[in-house]
Order: sequence, then structure tokens, then C-alpha cells
Amino acid sequence: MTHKNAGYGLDREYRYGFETDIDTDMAPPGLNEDIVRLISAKKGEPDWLLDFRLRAYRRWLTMREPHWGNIDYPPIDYQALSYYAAPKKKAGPKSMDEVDPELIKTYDKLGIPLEEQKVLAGVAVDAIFDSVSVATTYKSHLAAQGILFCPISEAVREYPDLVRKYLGSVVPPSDNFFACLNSAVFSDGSFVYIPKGVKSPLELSSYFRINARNSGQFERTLIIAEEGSYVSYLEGCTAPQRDENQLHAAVVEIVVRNGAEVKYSTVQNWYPGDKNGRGGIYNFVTKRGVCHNNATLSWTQVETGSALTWKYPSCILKGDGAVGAFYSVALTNNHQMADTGTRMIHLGKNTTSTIISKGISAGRSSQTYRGLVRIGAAAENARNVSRCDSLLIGGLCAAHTIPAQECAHPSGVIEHEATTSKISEDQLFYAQARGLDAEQAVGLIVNGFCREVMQKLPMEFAVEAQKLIGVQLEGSVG
Amino acid sequence: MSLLEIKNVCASVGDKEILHDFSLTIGAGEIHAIMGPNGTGKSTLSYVVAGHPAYRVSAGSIMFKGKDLLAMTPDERANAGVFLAFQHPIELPGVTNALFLKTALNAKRRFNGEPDLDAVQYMKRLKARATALGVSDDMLKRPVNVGFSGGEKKKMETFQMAFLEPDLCLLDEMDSGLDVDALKIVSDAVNIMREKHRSFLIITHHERILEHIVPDVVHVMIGGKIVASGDKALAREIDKGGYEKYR
Amino acid sequence: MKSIDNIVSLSKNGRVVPVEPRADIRDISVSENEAVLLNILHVSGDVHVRVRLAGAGAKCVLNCIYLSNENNMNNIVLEVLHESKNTHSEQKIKGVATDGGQVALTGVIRIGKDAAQSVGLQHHRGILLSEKAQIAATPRLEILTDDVQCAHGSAIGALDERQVFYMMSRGIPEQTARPLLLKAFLHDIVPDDWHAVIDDWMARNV
Repeated sequence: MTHKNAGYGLDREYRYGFETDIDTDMAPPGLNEDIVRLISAKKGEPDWLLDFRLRAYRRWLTMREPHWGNIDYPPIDYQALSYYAAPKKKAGPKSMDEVDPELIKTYDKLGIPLEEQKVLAGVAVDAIFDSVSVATTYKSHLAAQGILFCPISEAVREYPDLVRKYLGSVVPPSDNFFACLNSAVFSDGSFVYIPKGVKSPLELSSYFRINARNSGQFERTLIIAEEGSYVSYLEGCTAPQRDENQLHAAVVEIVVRNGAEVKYSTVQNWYPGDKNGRGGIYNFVTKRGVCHNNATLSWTQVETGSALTWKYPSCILKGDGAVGAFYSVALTNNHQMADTGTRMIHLGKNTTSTIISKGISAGRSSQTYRGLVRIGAAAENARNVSRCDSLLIGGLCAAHTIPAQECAHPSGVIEHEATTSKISEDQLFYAQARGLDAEQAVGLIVNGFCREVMQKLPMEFAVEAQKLIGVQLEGSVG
Repeated sequence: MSLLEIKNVCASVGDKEILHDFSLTIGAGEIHAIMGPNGTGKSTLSYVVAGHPAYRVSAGSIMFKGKDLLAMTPDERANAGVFLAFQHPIELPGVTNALFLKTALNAKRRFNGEPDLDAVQYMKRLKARATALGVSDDMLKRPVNVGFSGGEKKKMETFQMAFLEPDLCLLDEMDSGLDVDALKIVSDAVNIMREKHRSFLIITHHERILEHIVPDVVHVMIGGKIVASGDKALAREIDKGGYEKYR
Repeated sequence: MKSIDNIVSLSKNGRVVPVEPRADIRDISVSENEAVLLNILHVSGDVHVRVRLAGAGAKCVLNCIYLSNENNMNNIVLEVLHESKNTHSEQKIKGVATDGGQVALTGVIRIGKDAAQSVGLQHHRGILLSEKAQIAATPRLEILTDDVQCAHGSAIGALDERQVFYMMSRGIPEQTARPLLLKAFLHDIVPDDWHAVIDDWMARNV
């Protein structure tokens, strides 16, 4: 049938699996203090940051890789990886004209609105290619409002006091093995600062892409929203198709001051590996935000990529009246494994949190929702509502739901509901009886299943995310 | 040429044969009614024509517009012009009626080699039909059949039918559980849609709906077979005397 | 103060199977088309129950009440493992924690690869009656095949104040209304002859 996927923009294969041919400045494989010093020197960092890295590195040596997650993978040889890879370029680009045209082509293929005229689309982009931030658009437009949006390496040079004050304040290096590794070797990432009372007029966006072979990627993102400010931040990720596994260990820290609001949206589409489970990104990510009085932080994620995902975007609801939210769609197919969820830590009075998680497992994949809601002894009148729904497609996949709850204040309320189901034959037939083919029907039903979460995404992202779900489901309908 | 030609069909679900050597021919523009007691295979007939995978046809043939319907998937049948209004419409959580119908309409257009309607054209058409049938914007925004009352579900089935403009409409017990007002909405829609090229098969066990929609032919079905056929007088006779004499 | 013991009752296909309250009930295997009803009243210490729905069509209903006060740490692990086709389980867990009572509850539903057409349900509701009390619940749903129905719900919090108000608006004093609601909440899922034990515990601790 020729009408089959027409209009859905669906390609059979991973759409972002191209490689860009540019000279790469790459550190030799292996990790030791010299490499840490090399990274720091390459970036011309001040002593305090080198010291931060070295302390993290030494701490990392004493830590063990966590294996409590429901993911199974061969040992990672940390000495076989390269910890720094950058497109060769003498100095950072000052304007779009200076950006390597090959890179711009790459971003065009990714559909990123990098050109200035696309300001109409309302998106400001910071693009991270391997480990170095290549170009940040609309910087001047944002600067007029006092908003700082730049690569974190640039922030280290330009706004050292801010970076020094907040780096590691939400996710200390000792937090976990992967965060600690990131603290030692992070190469770039985004930095956002929204001054008091400012509502960012643009949605800020970063695109991350791993290009070089045998390299790990370790971005570090730091977002500070001062009192009464607002920002919506989008993050997208892709990587070329490769047979070997690549390591990605990122850290995102967010500080949300009194009355401020941060929306953080992710569409994660790292290369998931092939049908037989060969290749793909190992994605170990630590994301956390602290909310002060009446501050709001929402994490919205659509996770369709990566061979392995280990990720728990969390909210520390420290101030009274703080609000946290986690909206997640995770789709695994073939041999993908995802262990993802959130932690909502209620410390302040009248804090509220909402969790909506939609997991879809297909093929031979395995998926785990792992959550923790904790209402502390001082968190009077704290409230949490969680919903975790799993949809299974085919008899060979697995879905696990582990939503832990701890309540230490009698006025607290924690409510959780979870369901596991499959697409019923009746639903499929009903849609087919209205003229949809089997794949369209499954795509539509799955998108309906995810709708509550998709609605939380900014429009452009939602469209992209819906397509991704269609692409990732292909071949899963028997 | 007849629109639908069912010849000597045997169909079963699981190990149980439900239709035995069943035959029925419906000409273009005709309205047929099938009446029969519960469990006699009426719904099976509609599922077999629409292609429900749980029903296996072991013998016989079904031709629709001269094409072999049994060789087609349910969606191909729908796009070729078969519409089944379900007795128990299925809930599709999160899938709005507006999106569902857009997807279905464009599937049909592609099947016919036509370009997709864009969002504006589609909304225009949707709104026009919705207004005509008293379907509110709110109903269009709600997920398919989720949280709808029995009567509302039937109304939405009728709306889908009017919107997708099929050539053969199978109405499976559309009248069960409907109050007089809802029944009138459904039958009005059928009467409006009644055209030279469009045929209807109304499955019911009450004569009531046939007071609103006047059939050309009435069949009595018992034990997986048609045992008697006639005009609308047959329906009235059944209403008075029941099925006893046909058993 | 006199303390009460944990109580357990077990029946298979409607017939009572004797169990010692302190005896090891860790493993209960349910064979083909067998139905098991297990009731637990837990007031202290550790309990770890594992029910294996080993045969096709096996069914299990598991009701558990926990009562936690200053003197105890209630550590409860309930596991229901669906190992065969068409098996059904329903777990209902309710409890209260007062004073410095601490409850750690782990509730597992595992539906294995060979357990198609199975249904696993689990509901938990815990009520905190003091600022010092704590309830931690860790449900685990492990689903390894697609043709199943599984639902889980858990809620921890205080008594529903709307209910208290409704009763008071009908003239029932608060100090009568609260215990009444709590008893109704707990009595619901256990055998009638345990009600007196629960009421006695409530009278002494709440």
C-alpha cells in the first residue's frame, strides 16, 4: 500500500544517523589527572575550576558504578574513552559567519533553526557539538533584558562569580558516580541566568549531538532563575549511528528562586542501537532543581532514544509553597533498556508535586519507572499525586513500576495510581474499521496514551515528539 | 450490480461456528433490516463484513462493489466504503474525536489517491458537519467515547458515519439503550444520508427503529441463517408475534 | 502494657488451613484452579509473605492490616508471583501509624513470561495519626508479558476531613467520629472475629 506512512514523515531508519566530516581536536583515550588538567587548560579555566575538577576526579576514584538500576550492560572501560573532542577551530565563533559551514549543514539536517531570521520561531539555540558549544543565537536580543544564555565555558570566563557560586550547589560532585565523573571532565554545556522579575521572551533551546567516535559526552547545564523570573528551556539530543556504544553522562542543575518558574523540556533521541541491540548511547544523567518559596519547576521529557537510559530528573521542594512536576513519556523498542523516573523531595510547607509517567515498551525492551516521593517531617500540608501508566506491545517486553512513597507528616497526602495494559484488539480493530492501517492505528493509540504529557511540551517539540514515537514504534506491530 | 453480495458464508469465533451457509445481497441505495433474537449471529455478521480478526470465515465469499472483501484488511474495507457503527463503541483514551476523524478521513483520501486535507479545510468540514448533527466543539475535543453516555456514543458513531460518507453502513443495534430523542437523531441522520449509491444494513431486535427508518427489505435471522424475508410488514408481524413461528 | 500478637489466617478453596501466627508463612504455593485467601493483622516485627500462583487459574486474595505505634517498627514485605496463565491476585493493604510508629511496606506483583491473561491488583491506604509517625511504601510492579491487566494504587495521608465534617454535621462529636471512621476503615477487609482485637488496639493507642 502506497499510502502507508505518507504524511507521517516516518523514515524506516534512525533519521539522525549521519556523521559530519570535520577535523576534530581529540584528547588521547584514558582518564587521569593529566587529562583533567588538559581539559581545563584547553578551556583556559581559572584555578578554582581546575581544583573543582581535580577534587571530583579524586572522589570519583573512590566511588563505584551504581548497579541498582534495571539495566544490564557489559562493563564500561573508562580508560578506553576519550574525554575531550572538539571541532578544530582556533577561537570561538563570534558570529554565524565564523561557524564551520559543515556544522551548519549538520544542524540544518537536524532541523534546528540556527539562522537568525528564524528568531520568528521564538527559539534561541545553543548547540553543543560533541563537547563544545558552537554557536548561540539571539544572544544580543536576550542580553538586552539581562538574560545570560551562553556556553558554560564562556560563562566561566565572563561571569565567574555566578558559576562559582552555583556550580555543584544542587548536584554536588559526590552525589553519584556519573555526576562525579561529569564534574571532573565536563567539557561544555549551557548556562542560563534570568534576572529578577524577567520573563524570558524566547524559549531557550540547546541541541546536543555526539559526533566523534570513541568519545564520551559530558555536558553540564546550569540554570539560575532569580526571584519572580520565568524561563522555558528545551533540550534536544541526537547522535550518529555507530556499532559501538557511546557514553553520555550529563548533569543539569537548576536553581529556582522565590516565586520563579522554570520549565525544562527534553526530547531525547540519542541513537538507540540497531534491531539486534548493537550500538547505541549509554545515557546516565543527573538532573535536579531546587525550588525556593513559591517557586515552580517542571520537567517534561520524551525519551525515545539511547540503548540505556538511567535518569531521574528531580525537584527539591525546599521553600514553602514550592511546586514540582514531572511529565514523562518513555518509549523503548528492540533491545533498549530504560530505568527512569523522578524524585520529589518535599521539605517546605504547602509544597505540591505532580507526576505523570507514560511508559511504552515494545520489542524485547525493558522499562522501569522508578520514583520516590518523600514528605519530610517539617513539610506540613504537602501533597503529591502520581500516575504511572505502562503500555506493553508484544509479549517479549517488560515493564516495571517502582513508585516509592515516604510520608513523615500526618497532614501530608501522597496518592499514587499505576496501571499496566496493552493495546486491545478491540481498539485496534475499531481504528482499522475507520480506515487506519495497523501501524497508523498503533501510532494514534500510543499518542493518545501519551497525550496528557505531550500537551505539556511546547508546540514545536510536541510535533517532533509525536513523529519520533511513530518512528520508534515501527516494526513493533506484529 | 449489487453493492454487497454475501454467498454461502460460514463463519466462526474460536471453535464455534455462528454463521451457517449465510447469504445476503444488498443492492445500491437499498435499506435492509435484519431482525432476530439475541445470540443469533447478527453482530457476528457485521463483524465478519467489517473484518474483525477474531471471526474466521471458513467458506463462502463476500463481494463488495465487485471486489473480494475477505481478502482485504479492516482498514482497506473501511476505505473502500464499509462503515460499521458499533453496538459497543470502543474507548480510545487521549485520542480526541477531532484527531481521530482527521486521521481516518485522510487515510481514506490517500486510499483514493487524493491529497490530505490541511488543518483549515479539515476544520471547516468538521465544523460544518458537527453543527448539522448537533455535535458540540466540546465533544469533538474529548477523547473518542471516553466519558460519553450510551446515547452520546451512538450519536458520535452516527456523526462519524455522516462525516466519512461510506457506501455501506452497518448499524449494529444502534437503537439499543437509546431514548426516543436519541433514536430520532440517529434515524434522521440515516434518512438524510439515504442516497442512490448508499446502502444500509440495520441490525436490530426491535421494530421500533424501523418506524423511523423505512426499510426496503426485512430479514429474519435465526441460528446463523436468514429464515424469512419480506417488506416492512414482516417487521410489524415480528413485533406482534415474536420469533416463535420461525424457530 | 499488654501487647497483641500478629494474627494470620489462611484458607484454601474456602477451607481453613491452620497456621501458627509466628510460624513461617513465607512461601505459599497455589496450584491449578486453587483459590487462596490470606488475612494478616500485623502489629510488630518483620513479616515476609510470598505467594506463588503456580498453576493455571490460581487465585489469591491477600488482605493485610497493619497497626503501628511507638513500640514497633512494622516491616512488611508482600510478594505475589504470577507464574502461570490466567492467574488472579488482589492485595488490599490498610493500616494506621500513631505515636512514633514506623511502617515500611514493600508490595510486589510480578507477572512472569508464562502468565498471560493474568490480573494483578494491589491497593494500599495508610493513615498517619501523629506527627512522629512515618509510613514508607514501595510498591513494585514487574510485568514481563503484554496480555495482562495490572493496577496499583497507594495513598498515604491523614483521615479524610470531609468525612469527619460530614459526621459532625449530623451531630456526631469529633472524638466519636474519628475512631468510628478508623474502625470502619480497618474492619472492612479482615474477618469479623478480628474486629475486637483492632478495636482494643485502637482504644489503647489512639
